[in-house]
Amino acid sequence: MSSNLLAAVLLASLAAPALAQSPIPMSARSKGSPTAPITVYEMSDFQCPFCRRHAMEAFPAIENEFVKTGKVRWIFVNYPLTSIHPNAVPAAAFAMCAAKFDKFWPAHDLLFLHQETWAPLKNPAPFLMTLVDSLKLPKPAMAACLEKQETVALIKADADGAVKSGAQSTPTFYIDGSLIVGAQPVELFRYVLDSLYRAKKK
Amino acid sequence: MVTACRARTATIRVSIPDLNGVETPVPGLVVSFLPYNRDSILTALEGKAGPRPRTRELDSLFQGFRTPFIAYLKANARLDSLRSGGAPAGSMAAAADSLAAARAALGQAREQLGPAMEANRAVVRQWEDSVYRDYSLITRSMGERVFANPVADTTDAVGWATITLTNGRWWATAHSIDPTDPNRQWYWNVAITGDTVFLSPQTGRRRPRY
Repeated sequence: MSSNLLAAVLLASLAAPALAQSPIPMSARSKGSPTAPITVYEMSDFQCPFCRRHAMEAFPAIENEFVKTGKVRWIFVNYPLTSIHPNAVPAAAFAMCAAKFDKFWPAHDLLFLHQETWAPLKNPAPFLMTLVDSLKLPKPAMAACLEKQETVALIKADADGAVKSGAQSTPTFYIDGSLIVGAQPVELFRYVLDSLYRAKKK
Repeated sequence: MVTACRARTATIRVSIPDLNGVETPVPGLVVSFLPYNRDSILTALEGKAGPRPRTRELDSLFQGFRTPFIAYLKANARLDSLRSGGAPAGSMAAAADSLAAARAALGQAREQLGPAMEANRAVVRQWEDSVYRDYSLITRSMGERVFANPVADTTDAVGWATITLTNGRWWATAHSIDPTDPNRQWYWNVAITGDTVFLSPQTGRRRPRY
């Protein structure tokens, strides 16, 4: 699939009806200026340890150097690998529901921080509800959101889009027509994002 | 180096020779899938220890047991064959007598050799407990390093098992009874390099059940 086609597929998938009418706007799970010259789509799974590694190790530096400086808009796309990560969908649902209250990123950070605790649980729901308190989210509203099929449908729409864009593993990053696969060191992101930024600013 | 999560499916088929030497599927067998090479860890641990004790004694006892066991199997098979073939009553009675004699000889061998086998096996168990003491610790840390945990599946009625694995290197390991010898077993520890893996006499080995 050509890079332009990949971009079209991913963007079209993310603009699919389920997301177009979504009560959770894309902006709720994006960071950075909407007018940033570069957009990165991170296709990620909250139960994937390599996604955790990216979130904990590389992303803080990327955020400081590229997102906060207006160079990059970063968008999180759910791609739960349900066959190997049975708790990935409940975790994604938790983050999506938190997004309704503008707490997607704090929820994202907590989910990855405590991944080793909730990932092996048979039923992660009680533990996830303890994060509601940490995030100061309204408990009844969160509980109601987590029970909605609509939330799962949004996650599935995300995952479908990720698959159509060519992602086969997590984390995968769609950056300006190319895919970067895996939890790569921050140096690689620096190289790619700096090169792209310079090219776009010419 | 693995840096991403990815699901892949592996299919395993287990088969061993039956009493007549015909390769036959093994149903209901637990196959473990490990993100490390079990044998290499065991070999490394064994390398630090002295040789496994009492193997010569046990091999000799196993050999002593094997003769009456094979005689019993043959007598049993002969009677079955006569029954299914509708043989005359006289032949069946003779075969039944032979089977009874073989069963008695087997029982006698069990009585004579069993206590010595158990005593020697207890010594082997002690040796294994000591030599493999750190196995769990080592494998847990190896699993953590590659973010993968052992998983298992049981073969279906025709010897197949299917499992979803994360990417990275995996080994399928299993052991099955050897129908021709109760003191031996079939053992496999096979690297999963494709979508389908065969645990068969070609990929496994028969080893003593110390």
